[in-house]
Amino acid sequence: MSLEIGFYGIAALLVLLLLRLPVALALIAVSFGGMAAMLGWSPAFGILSSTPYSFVASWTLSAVPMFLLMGFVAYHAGLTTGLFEAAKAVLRKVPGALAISSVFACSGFAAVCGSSLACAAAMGRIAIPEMVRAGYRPSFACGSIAAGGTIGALIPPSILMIVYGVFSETSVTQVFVGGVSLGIMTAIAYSIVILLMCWLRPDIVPRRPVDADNLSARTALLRIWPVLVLIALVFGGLFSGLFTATEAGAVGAAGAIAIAAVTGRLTWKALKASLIETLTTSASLFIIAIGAAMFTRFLGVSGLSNFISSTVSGADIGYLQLMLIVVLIYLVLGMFMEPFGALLVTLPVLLPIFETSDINLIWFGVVVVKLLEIGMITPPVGLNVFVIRSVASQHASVMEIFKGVTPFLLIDVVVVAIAILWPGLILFAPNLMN
Amino acid sequence: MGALARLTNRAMNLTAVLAALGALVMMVHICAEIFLRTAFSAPIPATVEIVSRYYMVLLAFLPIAWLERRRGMVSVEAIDFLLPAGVKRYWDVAISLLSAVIYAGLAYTTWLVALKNYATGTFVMALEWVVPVWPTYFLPPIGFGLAVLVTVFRAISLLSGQDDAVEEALGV
Amino acid sequence: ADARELRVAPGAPPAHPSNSHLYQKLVEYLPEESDGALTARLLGPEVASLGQMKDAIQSQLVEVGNLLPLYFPADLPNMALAGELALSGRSPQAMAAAMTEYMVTCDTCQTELKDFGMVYLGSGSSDVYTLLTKEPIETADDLQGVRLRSGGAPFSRWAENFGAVPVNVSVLDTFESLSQGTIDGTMASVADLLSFRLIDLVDNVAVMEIGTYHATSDFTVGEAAWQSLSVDERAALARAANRANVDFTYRWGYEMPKEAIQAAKDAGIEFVEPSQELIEASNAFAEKDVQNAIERSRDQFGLSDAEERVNRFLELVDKWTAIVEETGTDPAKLAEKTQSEIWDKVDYASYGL
Ligand code: NA
Ligand code: NA
Repeated sequence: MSLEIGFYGIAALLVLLLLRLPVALALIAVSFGGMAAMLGWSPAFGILSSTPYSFVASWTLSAVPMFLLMGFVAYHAGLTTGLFEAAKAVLRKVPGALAISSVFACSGFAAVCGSSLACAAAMGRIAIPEMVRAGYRPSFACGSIAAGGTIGALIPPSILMIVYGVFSETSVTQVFVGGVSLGIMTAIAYSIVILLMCWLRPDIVPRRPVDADNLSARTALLRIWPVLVLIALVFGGLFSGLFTATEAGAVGAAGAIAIAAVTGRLTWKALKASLIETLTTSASLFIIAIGAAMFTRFLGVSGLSNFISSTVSGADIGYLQLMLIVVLIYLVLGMFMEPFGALLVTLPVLLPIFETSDINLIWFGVVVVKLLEIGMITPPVGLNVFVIRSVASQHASVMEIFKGVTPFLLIDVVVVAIAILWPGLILFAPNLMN
Repeated sequence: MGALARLTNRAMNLTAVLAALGALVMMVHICAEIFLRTAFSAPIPATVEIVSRYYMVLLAFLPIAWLERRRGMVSVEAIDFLLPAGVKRYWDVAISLLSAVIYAGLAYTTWLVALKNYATGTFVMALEWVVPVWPTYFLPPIGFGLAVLVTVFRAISLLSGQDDAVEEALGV
Repeated sequence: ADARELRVAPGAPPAHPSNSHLYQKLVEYLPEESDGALTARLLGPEVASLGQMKDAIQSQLVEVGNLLPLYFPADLPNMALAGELALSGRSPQAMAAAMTEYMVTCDTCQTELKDFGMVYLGSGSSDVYTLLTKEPIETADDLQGVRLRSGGAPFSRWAENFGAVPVNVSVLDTFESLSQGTIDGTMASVADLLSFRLIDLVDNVAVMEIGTYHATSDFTVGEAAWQSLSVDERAALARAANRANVDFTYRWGYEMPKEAIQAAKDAGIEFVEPSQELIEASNAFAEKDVQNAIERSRDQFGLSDAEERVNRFLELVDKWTAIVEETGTDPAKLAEKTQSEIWDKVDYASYGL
């Protein structure tokens, strides 16, 4: 009976979302109603009253507003304006140069930020206006950053990988090292998509940069020193052990403000705009994440999430079939759930299956993060798409961004297939450590 | 009505300024902690607790009404193009009122939680330090409560057809 | 008739002993002890994590849950007092049993729990914490300026007493902090070498005893759920909980450390014998620290008769240390002892009501 309520809950969520109720409120309303239907009023009110505070009052989450602030200050104080000029200059002969360089900029940014949301938010603010100005179709510009942001959780540091490592009792460091290769593979695959789009649809992706002709690569690279200093500061501190990945956000934000001040670019207007955007983005994300956390608890009690994954363990199947089912489970859960919830719900059932099937848990840690990150850009609940929507609201609607993400989702399926067929591509680096 | 709307507006701006200050202070606090523990082996006590129980709660809940006013809540605009302009107005009223009901539910239940924590004087222990945390339990009901006002005002102004009066007072 | 199904929640994932050896055992024992009248359905941490457990129990989402009382010193001052006595812990099973008897037999503890809307059904204990560090610790001098993760105030006092710097790091951040050098080591269970993969980072384990983590409330029953049970069902739940509690402490306090020590030896980690002076100084500080526990319980947790309470607790520790020495650590035999010494003396018509 609870299972049925789980299915009804998903249907009700879809309806409320279509009616244009804010995503966060739809998640909250369905979780409350579903919980009341299953267990009565008291547990339903309990979830409503306790989840908001307990979810938000988190040390790890504090990295999100800080990395957002870092990105917004870098953008508004003009520290990053040189980035795209440099990219254009370096890649001037390459079609789709701006989109490709923003994907690689996401990868670079990924190395200093722990979550894909912060990565997408910061890069979105920096890259989307430049791409739209250069003649990219806004939906594609937004989509490429929403997708590029997912690299943020693949290339270490990665909060998702830390949680996985702790739960599966595998070495976080080895999962990190494995994540580097899948992150780079993803960046290359996304670049291929952009090149293809460029070739097939020049109306969406302009074939060459617009105004890079009179800038030498050398001069352009000289202009991006503020960003390089910022990355060096965050990286250097992180790897020399001065601070943790969570604290790095605060150092990055302070560093961005300091660099802006030293170079005379810190205006009151820029600081105010950065703070306003940090507030809007983090508050709108946190309330959606609160809703997703409530919905995860609702699905957990309904037994639906368990039902889906345990149906798999009942069947006697080979490696490829098993992985196909695993991929499907995460694609379906990823449509509705936030990644930590989906991870928490599935690992208890899947890990024992993997242990008996001799599946390498370090490899799976990397692949599961990739699968969860795909869920960040699939409709109807795609957190990366929502974050792009809130940082670039003047450019594209949620529906248009989901449309812009589609080609990247298709290539993601290919990337996942490669990771499944040739696990060695991910495992060679962690194996070197042994 | 106009006076209440102006008051709500001022309260919203105040909460947004406080949240912005919270973000800056959080940044300075964490950096100072890193500096002091590295340079002098003297970490600032209870940094983790203060960051998670104060700054984070401030950042997450205070700006909600302000966000709602800026129409910053994310939604999926899938069927907008199907709605004629006349219907769209009433649709917006219905969505605003439904939002108000959900915010009211959140405000009421989190308010009860806040009262309970106030009564116990809830604190947490950070090693030897005692950090009172009951005050921050009042932030969610304040944020959600202001959001109720904003969404109700929006419904009223949409219904009365005078987008100007109330919305203007709200500073949209 | 249909069995009554209780919603129970360990707040931890399956690999954690409070899931595998506490709540999964409860699921197994409950139908046995109640002749099939009661069963339990386990809800995972995605439904109720440790941080959400208080609200989950109070709202009846969870009917029996694993609560960490040290999160709520304002509501549960007697639990906080017991937590302050961490440095007195030398025998996990004795600490778990002493904690349980203390809570069950003390009137104000029961009043606190009642005001909190919960009923207490026993505690478990970790093994005796030691030092897991990068550099070997042999003398008190080696501790100077060493940054150690501390899991609570008593461990911080211990570290500060020897000139080390206690650092407040979440247990989940230990790996990262240690790998980056934000901390030089941790005061923890040797089992953390496996549970949190510290085996990749730690080079030395000190062979010394600092203290235990025993201020737990393994099975915390919501008021409404408890009232809905018959007197016989309550007794059956208490019996099942008692057996699972002892199993859990055996796993957490004895088996896991043993496995971790073996793995550490295989990995070439050094087991360092500290100097006699350091061990004596450490034990002397543990005795002296009882006074700190009294003062903190009086000044910060508002227990005016803290001294008597602490003495009562320490008497129970002595009592159970003797019992455990005599009985041995076999869980089945110990569970019989705690059942007859503590739980059989409870009147289930009035307990928790
Ligand atoms: Na990253
Ligand atoms: Na999704």
